[in-house]
Amino acid sequence: MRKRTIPRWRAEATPLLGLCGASLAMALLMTVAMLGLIFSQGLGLFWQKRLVRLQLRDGSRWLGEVWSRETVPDPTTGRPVRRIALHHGNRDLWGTAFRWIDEADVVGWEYPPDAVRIERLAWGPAFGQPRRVWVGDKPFVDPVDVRDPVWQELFASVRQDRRVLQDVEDQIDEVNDRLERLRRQELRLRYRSASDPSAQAALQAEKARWERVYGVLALRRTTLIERLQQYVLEVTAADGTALRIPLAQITAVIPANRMGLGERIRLYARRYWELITENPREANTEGGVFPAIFGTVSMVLIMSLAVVPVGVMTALYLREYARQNWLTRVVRIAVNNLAAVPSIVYGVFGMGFFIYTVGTAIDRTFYPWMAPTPVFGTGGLLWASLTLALLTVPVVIVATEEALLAIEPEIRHGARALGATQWQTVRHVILPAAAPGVLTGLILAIARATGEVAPLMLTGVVKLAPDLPIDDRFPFIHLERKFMHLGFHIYDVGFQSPNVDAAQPMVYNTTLLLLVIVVALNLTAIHLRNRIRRLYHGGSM
Amino acid sequence: MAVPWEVWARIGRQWRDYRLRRQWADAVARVAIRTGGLLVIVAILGVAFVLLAESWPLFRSPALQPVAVGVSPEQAFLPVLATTLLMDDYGETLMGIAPDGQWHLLAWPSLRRLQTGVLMPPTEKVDSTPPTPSVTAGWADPWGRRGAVARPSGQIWLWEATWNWQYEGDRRTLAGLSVQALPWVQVPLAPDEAVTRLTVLAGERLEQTQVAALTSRGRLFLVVSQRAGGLFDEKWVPAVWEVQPRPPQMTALAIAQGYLYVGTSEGDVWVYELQEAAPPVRREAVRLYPEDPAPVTAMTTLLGRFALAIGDARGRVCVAFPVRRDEGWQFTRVRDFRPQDGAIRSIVPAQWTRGFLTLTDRGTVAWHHSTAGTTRWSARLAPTAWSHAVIARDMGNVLLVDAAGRGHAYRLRDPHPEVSLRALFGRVWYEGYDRPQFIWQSSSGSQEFEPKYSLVPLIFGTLKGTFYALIFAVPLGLLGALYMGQFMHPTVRAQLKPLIELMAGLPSVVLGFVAGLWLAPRAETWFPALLVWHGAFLLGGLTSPLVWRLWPWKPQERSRQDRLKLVLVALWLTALFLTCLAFNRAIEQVFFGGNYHRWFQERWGWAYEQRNALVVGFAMGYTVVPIIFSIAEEAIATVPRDWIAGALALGATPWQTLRSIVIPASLSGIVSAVMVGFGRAVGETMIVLMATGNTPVLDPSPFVGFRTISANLAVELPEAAVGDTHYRVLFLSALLLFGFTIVVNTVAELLRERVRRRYYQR
Repeated sequence: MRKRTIPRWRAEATPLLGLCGASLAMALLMTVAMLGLIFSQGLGLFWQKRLVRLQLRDGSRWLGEVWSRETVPDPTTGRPVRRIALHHGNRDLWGTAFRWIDEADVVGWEYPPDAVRIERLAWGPAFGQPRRVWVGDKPFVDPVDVRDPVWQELFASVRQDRRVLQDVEDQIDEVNDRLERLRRQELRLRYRSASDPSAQAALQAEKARWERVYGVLALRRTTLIERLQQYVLEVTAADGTALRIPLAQITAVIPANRMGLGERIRLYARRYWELITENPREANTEGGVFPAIFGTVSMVLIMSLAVVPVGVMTALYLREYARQNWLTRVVRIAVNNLAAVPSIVYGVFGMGFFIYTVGTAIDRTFYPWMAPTPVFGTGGLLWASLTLALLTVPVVIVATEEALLAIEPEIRHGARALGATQWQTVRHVILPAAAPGVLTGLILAIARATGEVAPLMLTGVVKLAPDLPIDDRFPFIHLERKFMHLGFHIYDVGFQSPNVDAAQPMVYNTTLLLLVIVVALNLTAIHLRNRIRRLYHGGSM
Repeated sequence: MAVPWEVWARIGRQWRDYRLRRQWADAVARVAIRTGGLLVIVAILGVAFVLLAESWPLFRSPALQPVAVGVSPEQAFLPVLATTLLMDDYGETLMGIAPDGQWHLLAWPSLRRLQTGVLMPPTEKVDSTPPTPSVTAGWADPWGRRGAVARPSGQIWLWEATWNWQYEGDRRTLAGLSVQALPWVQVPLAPDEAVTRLTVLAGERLEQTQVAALTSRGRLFLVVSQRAGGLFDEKWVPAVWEVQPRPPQMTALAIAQGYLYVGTSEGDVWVYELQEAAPPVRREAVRLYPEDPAPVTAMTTLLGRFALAIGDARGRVCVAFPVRRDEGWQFTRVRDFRPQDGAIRSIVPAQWTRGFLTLTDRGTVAWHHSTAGTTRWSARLAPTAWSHAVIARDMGNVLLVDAAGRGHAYRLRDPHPEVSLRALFGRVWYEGYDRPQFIWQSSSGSQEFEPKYSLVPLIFGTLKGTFYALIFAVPLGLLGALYMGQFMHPTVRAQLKPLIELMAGLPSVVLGFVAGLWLAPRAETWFPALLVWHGAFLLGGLTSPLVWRLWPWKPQERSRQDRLKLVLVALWLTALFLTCLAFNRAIEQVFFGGNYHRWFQERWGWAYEQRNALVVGFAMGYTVVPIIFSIAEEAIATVPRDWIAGALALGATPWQTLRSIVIPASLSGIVSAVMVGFGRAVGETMIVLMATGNTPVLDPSPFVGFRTISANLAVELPEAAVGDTHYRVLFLSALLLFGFTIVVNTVAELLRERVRRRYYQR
């Protein structure tokens, strides 16, 4: 037989192994790059830049923040052209807030020291130089300097007034809620057709009382608003137009070109604080995402209540109770399939089953007087939570099973040998030992649920919910309410909003927030699991 | 029945007894956990059941059932002209106009006479009742609740029926019918001539009606109303035209939007185009069945007034409409239905959908649907001929009229007539299109819109997205897993795994956001560089061992070496990537003549959209990589260590061991990894929603977006009306998606189980 030698390059095939290694490196690189991208893009957007005034060749002047620069080929000549995206604000004056400016057209750059960025409740930020404050048609502070104590005192008092106004509005909200409750009671009475005139009369009297309260509050609100509307700040925009902004609309005046580093850092921190504590404004493109965080958290909590018992029970069944036979195989395949079914299908199921079957049945049985307005027969917190519980239950099962598997059989045998029943063993020995595993599963389930959006779109998430799902009004947890969600917020603001450019800081930072939450949850779970593994395996695995 | 006290006492005693109590607890826990464990199966079956239950009604067969009420024989004879019959919105009453010029309101199904009046213009006095017979022909347009009658003098009157419903809470009562009449136009007739047949197309207002009238001498007149007067005192003035040239033997008439159609005894349809202020112009004469012509006996326009349903003397039924060709609009027979056993006497369109009833002279009734392209139901209901029928707007209440003028009440049950397997999965020739196509276009504002429920574009989009995701993810995931499972130090492996898990944990909404808002615009600029990058990656990967060999400072420890190798390769790849980007313009110059948009447009006919299949494929691939990676890695890790050690001890190189031991041994696991990745990509929703144009097009070009089943569900299901056809079709698509992933995943799981059992034996 002829001896066949294999050439060394074929035997070792080092380049191919290199390719394998490169694939792994690529996958890891992409993860790092993705995280880095979101962080680098997101973190910069809340940093207050200096305000620049550009003098263009055609004589026009623009004041604003340089958003980004890029080099693009000129459409006619094909030569690369550098251009600037300028955020010039004042959408109420010019209709847009952004503009691309060719760098070649710019003849003058300057940073006017008195230029300010004005954050306000409508129309996005305004940029300009403050001139004077008017009260009615009389100049009140002239000229105005935003560093001046006079201005600061005035602004503080306006803010105080606005806080009062907010109080009044909260009270009006409360009254509206009462009236809504009374309306429901009335519907209920009418539905029962209990011709109980005294109850009817009492109801009407109560209603009249609250309507009177409402009237008083509304009057108060009107006077407050009128008073607030008197104070107007006049700002000169870049093109010389006088922009008059009621002080009541202004949330902050930022003298961006006269701020020290400390002030900038404080402003930066304040913007993040606002992001997580405030309500959204202006079609969600400004303000904060507090209701979305709140909605996400409440949904996840309710989901946890459902997912843990079911997940743990299934895992116990598979590992502690069932003999390993065809049935456990089927269960295992079912668990696996449950994990693999596309999330949107759960959304469809949640809609068809929870909302339109269970929900309408509940409405028919318990809320017939509300017809045709659905209570539970429409998307809401409960249905979304249950849908997500179904979606995430395999995660809990798998993690719990792993934890159960890690418990040495001797421990079980010991407990049984001491005379404990199976349930006692499970209850007092197995479950405490497996608790970290269950927790890992729960954290992973929460991480998954936090990032999941598609099923929620069918089961109760909305872009703007008027009320939080949990509040201080009876019965405190409103399972039927629609809610906001961070992930959906990203989709909505980034893709459905009419003004995508202006929404960029918002959407990047919401993404950042979601990512931080999800990554933190995942890392916690991974850390926890590694600890369990080390505990039971005593080494690396 | 009250439980005796002793029983309670016994339970109490047992509860106090610790041993018994713990046995109880044990038993209860056992049952509870068993049930809980099986809950997972229940959940899967429940999902399947709900999806099935919601989409099942789409395929329930329709039925036309007689409504059994005691209709007395004398009541069964309708006093009115069958062609003037109209039914109200709720299907509770009928109205029609009698030859003597009276109108009658009849109850459905008892045909009791509820109200009678004289068709009279508002100005004329009631006592000057015209002498009988005062109506020679009549027609009702079911969509407009309007119609026309011809008087013996040749005068044509328009009329409009209004049902005066009164609503009180949930209750509804009919206060009566009022019929408004409008003497409209005089058709120039010869002394012994009379109008024998009318057909009407109602406009937005009563005066905007178009009427075609056939006389006893075989002349055809067309009355078209034309706008006159200014912007504010707008008036509509009718103009009478005699239609020339006219076909020899006219047997059927129909007016659709812009056209007058005349069917002849030779089996032709003559098409006239209606003109502004001019007589209609003959466009063409189309022989419906050139090989075997038969007289056209019935014609009607369908919902939307665009398509025509036509029946002939041999019982053949077809739908035809104008189709745009290069040489102009051509009237084309588009689809055929099941032939009936006798001559078609009448065709009655439904008002809520593109369905129609055909009635024959042998007593057969059939229910067809144009879009579905099927004869949904047919039966011989009577021994005698039918003459006409009327269908209620929504409820499916039907009154069939036989040749003797007797009315028969029926109820049509068919909630989803537009769905058939052909309509869902086949090419359908929709109205206004030039050929049969696969189209998904579920709704629009108009009631007359023809819904297009072809699932093919969605399935195509799903597979297209999955394809691009997998060509990206499979090599990366599998090769990476091979490397990690086979060549890496366990310590490094344990350190890197969390990073991969993190990758799997990234929410898809974040990826979709990055792909749609950040990557898509940049990918457009950098496209040439990214294209070349694929080659550069291959090159970089293959040369990476060289980089390692040339690297001067190598640590001693294996684990440190592995870590450093990875870092070096990553740096090397990054450097190559940045080089590609730097030469972006140059690459575009060299390969694409300076403009790749134009290059692809000219060579391949592909226009570049910013949010396209490649971008989505990349983002979806990103989600799939960690899944493929971890399952494949697990499969590789389960290959027994001693096999590998044995191979290496016999002198095999690591590559040879990998090729001939590890890969064959873990093959089913690897296949399973790809399948699970496939299942995941199929169901991805948010990325598709955010990073594609989301248009349901059938275009294989990688530069065009698509719409997947899942994205379609997310977009359309919240808007769909519960129980509607659209809603159920969406559930059907969800069922498809569900079934598909279940099958793929179960097969993958069985494969994986095989691996586990082979090596673990436990």
